[in-house]
Amino acid sequence: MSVVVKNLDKKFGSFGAVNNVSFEVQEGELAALLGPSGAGKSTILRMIGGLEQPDTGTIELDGVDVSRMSPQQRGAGFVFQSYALFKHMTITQNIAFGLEVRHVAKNEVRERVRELLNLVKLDGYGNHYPSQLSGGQRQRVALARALAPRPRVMLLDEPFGALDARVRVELREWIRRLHDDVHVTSIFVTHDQEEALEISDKIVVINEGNVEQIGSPSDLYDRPATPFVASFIGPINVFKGEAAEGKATFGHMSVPLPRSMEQATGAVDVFIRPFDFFMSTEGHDGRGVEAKVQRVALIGGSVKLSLVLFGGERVEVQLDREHFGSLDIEVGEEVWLTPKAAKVFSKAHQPLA
Amino acid sequence: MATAASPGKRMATSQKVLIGIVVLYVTLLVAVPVLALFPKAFSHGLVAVVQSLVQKDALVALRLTVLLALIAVVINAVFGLVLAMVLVRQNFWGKSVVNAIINLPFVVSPVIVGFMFLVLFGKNGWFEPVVNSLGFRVVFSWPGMMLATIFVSLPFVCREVMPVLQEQGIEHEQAAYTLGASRWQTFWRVTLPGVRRALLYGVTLTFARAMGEFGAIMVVGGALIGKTETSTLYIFRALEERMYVAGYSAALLLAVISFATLILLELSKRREVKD
Repeated sequence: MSVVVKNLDKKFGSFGAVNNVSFEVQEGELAALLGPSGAGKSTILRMIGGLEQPDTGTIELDGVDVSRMSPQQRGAGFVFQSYALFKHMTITQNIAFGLEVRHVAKNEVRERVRELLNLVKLDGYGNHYPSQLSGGQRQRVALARALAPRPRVMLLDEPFGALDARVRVELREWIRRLHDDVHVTSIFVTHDQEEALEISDKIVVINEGNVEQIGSPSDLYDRPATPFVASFIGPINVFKGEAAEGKATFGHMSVPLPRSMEQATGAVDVFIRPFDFFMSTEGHDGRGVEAKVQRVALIGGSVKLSLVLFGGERVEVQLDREHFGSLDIEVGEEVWLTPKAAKVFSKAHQPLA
Repeated sequence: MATAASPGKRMATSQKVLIGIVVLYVTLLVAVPVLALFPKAFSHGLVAVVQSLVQKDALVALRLTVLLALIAVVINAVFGLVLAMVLVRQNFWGKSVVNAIINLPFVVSPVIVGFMFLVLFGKNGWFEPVVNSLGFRVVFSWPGMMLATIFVSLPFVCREVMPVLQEQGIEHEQAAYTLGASRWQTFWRVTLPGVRRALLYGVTLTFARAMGEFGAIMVVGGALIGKTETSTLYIFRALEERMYVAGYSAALLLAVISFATLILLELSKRREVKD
């Protein structure tokens, strides 16, 4: 089922929590609402689920305007960050709840619960109470409970927020696989860009109640529309520079401006990802700049280097391990950096490249 | 277990002294007076105790006491729950005033409570014409005693349930809504079981408080023998009239009922912990 959100507005007192937010999620998609905490993403999710009323704007599920409907009528499964499991009920009773309140036949309920316990890999835990389970297990119960009445759309509020790092990663991969199996349209809220990049089909970036950009993970990573998206999604170096004569110059480095904006002049911000540097032990073609290696960290297959330019600016550079090995660099040595790709934004936040 | 005494196995002297003070305090102030009832009541043997308890006046008084306590429990359980839910979940003008007024029964002396009902319903009282035209009496009759008992035991359920509701938040209920449960279903299956323990605790305290009420019902009820005399009033009269066995026996019975209630509560708590 598709979800269409149009011009959603929500104020808490005089604070505009959500400002004119619109986006669409197609049937069967797994979409992320991504943004820093307090950006209004949870409020948007709660409005889709009917737990919060928008001041203005509409929400359509499968083309039907549900903006004024109660949560009961919307048929959206909701998973809370705190899981909100019913403590006084067993796991089986928790999962059966949504079916029992609809007066589904007893044997049907039993069959569906068994099926869901199996789906979330908790066979044998039916008679446990929530307090006897780990965080990750509780999260899976919350999912099973929300899935039980076969919701038309699943809404997940920071589903991994309360878990420790290892379980987070496991669970998010598992949720992606589950989504591919069950194929119910899902929207989840997260402040973790890695999480959003890894498992979603579509990301809606929210900042201060506004939509910054909507796109696939690679769209956002490679073609950020705003400085906010560029700096929020993935690690990035930011330099203050000047645009002139078709070039953006910052420190002793420069990158060409894109053809469409060749005439631009004035102050610009230049964003360069740690992977987008060429590093060598000797200078070449005059575009590179000297930098001193301050710290080297080996992380799996890649190497993270912290460097200081002669202007005193810090730069983070990431290389693959093989390349790093061939350079044979040590801390304290000087190297040459050349930007391979950059995003240039004018002060008016218009992307130039 | 990481208790305060855990660094090293030895308990510090200060801790021993503290524990000693607590044990002594509870023993002297609670246990000894209760135990003192036994020899007094049984001074003429078990038969005398039973005989004094099955006297008509004693039975009538006990029945009235239990009845008043049960009515107070039912009414205060229902309204205490409603009060708690409204005060925790709703925002309205004057909420803090209502919140403060609920504590009044804790701070107003029961004798004054009885007097307030006399002023309201007695001769030339504000509500006297109303109850007269309806054809029943409040003052020196059980309706007045019922009002007084409800009044003095009103805060317990509400005060026990409120913090639990507050801490529980509304997410469980919202989860129930998204699962398709109506408000009514959600109340019975999610909200109420969630506050079950606090409610039970509040009800127990309400019952115990109502059973022990003296001043308010004496003033408003008049302590008419065989009519508006409750067990506590009966005990008071028995001691005044030097019917010591009757007085101590009735006192012992009230204490036993109260203890039994508390023990039941503890047992139910233990069972829950095991769940």
